[in-house]
Amino acid sequence: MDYSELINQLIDGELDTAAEASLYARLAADADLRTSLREQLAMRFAIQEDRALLVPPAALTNKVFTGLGFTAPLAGSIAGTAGGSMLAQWLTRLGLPVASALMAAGLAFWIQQPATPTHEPMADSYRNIQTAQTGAPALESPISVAPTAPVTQTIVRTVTAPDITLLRTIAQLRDENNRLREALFAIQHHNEADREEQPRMDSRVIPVTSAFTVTMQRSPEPLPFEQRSLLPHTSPFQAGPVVQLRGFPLSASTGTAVQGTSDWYTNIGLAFLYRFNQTHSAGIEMGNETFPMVFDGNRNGQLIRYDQNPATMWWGATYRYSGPQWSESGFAPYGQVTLAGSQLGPVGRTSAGVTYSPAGNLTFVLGAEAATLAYSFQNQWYLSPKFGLTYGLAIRF
Amino acid sequence: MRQFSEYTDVELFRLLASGQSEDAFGELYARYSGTVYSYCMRLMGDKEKAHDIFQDTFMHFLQSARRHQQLDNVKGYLLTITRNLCFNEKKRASSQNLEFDEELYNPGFSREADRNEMMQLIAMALELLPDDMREAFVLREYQGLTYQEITELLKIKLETAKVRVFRARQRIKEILQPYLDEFQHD
Repeated sequence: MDYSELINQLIDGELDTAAEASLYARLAADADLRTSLREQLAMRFAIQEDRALLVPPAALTNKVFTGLGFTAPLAGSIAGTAGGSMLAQWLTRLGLPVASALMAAGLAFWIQQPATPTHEPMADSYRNIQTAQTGAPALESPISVAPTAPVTQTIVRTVTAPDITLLRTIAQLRDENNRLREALFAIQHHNEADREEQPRMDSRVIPVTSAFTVTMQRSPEPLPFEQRSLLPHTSPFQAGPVVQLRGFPLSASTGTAVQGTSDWYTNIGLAFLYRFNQTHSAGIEMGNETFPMVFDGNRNGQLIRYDQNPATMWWGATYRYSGPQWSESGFAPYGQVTLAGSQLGPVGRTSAGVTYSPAGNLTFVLGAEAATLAYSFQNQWYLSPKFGLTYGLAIRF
Repeated sequence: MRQFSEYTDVELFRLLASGQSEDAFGELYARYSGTVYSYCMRLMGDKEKAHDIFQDTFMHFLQSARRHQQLDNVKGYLLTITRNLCFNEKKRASSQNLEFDEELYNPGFSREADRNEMMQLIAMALELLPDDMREAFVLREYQGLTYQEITELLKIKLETAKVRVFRARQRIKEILQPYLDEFQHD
């Protein structure tokens, strides 16, 4: 009897009971036969481990479909047709882009700073304050107090930017002037009375007063440097839109033997931001990027290993934090976070680095970036993380 | 409404001739592209030729579906088309000696280290087998076909299929004997 044939049938699972008993009895007595069985089983196990189906590359799949006049499918969708919950499909196809847009709107609403209060024209503001305090019609001309006693000091200020603080100061000064004027009249009256009763004395009372002449000008003239401290700090910053273009040639931590597409628009992102103040910006960012995808699945009872590197469009909400400039060098730190959706799954990215604004509205960006794609196949979630540098430029409008 | 993944192979094949051919083809491609690709690669031993045959297989398959709307075994039919194209290519090339292609044994795997030495040795030994043995062995061990499916595909007798697989195993074992002795002693 050829026991090697029996071993072959044993491996195939086709050995009947009687032959099985005969084989086992022989195996118990024959060491060489046992060695032969172990070798066959070792080969079988190695083959079964290697039985993962070879998956056609995405480029070949696209070639097949386009050659037949069909729309080339995304690599992920080939895997996704056999699995993925409805929730995952909703999240990847429609929900996340919509959610990102809603998040961008909510973020913009939350970060929105109150509008800088607009100042009334100086003359109108002054008129209102004077009317409120004296009840008398406001004077259009600058306020002035003709001194009836020696004036110790006169401070002349030219004010161009109307602001509440200064208006209050002017109102206070007017009150003080009125009180001093009344005091002066009282003293004059008293002096006249005393002069009649007493001989003239060597000393005389010299009321000290301060008179302020405030010239209101509507024409914008630069403030004297020494007066700036009386005015609140006004930054030259203006809120407005920003367009940012950057590249992210990141390295994937998921190893793949499949080459990604090298189209010119791959691995770049375009953002439309609104800068609310010097610190906060938010908006929408979109891009096209390759993400290696390596995952295992089960199809018709066989283990399948997918290895692909598809490019996918993504778009979503982005938020950017800009730090203060370092010593007016033009350099400033920044951080940016983006949550986006794509046809393969949600994409998250974060970067931090420096910006350089040499002049005008142009800003250069350089930083470190981390991004990841989350995708599911047969109810199992996988991540495709990437790390590297990001660089680009932004233009403020 | 039924998803395409719920259709049987026969129903999908019937749809190939209708207006829903693209979706039906996509589903059938998703189910059997791996099987066809694996078969091509292991039979041909040459990546470029295997890719050409892979593409031609599905082209012939779709053309045939539009002519004949009834088919009982789609998988077997695809493998038959692939097999015929492989052997036609080999005849055209007039060469029985296949070049050893590194990528055949490491195609599409991202973790090279996962393929242990034994796998690589077996794959190398396959190259040394005669075509008929290699084909039967690949269908049985790598494609997981039953002996009955192999006989239908190769148009041979059941006993012939079993003998070919048995002899292929024996031959591979003989080729790898020195290495198997090393594994035993480790």
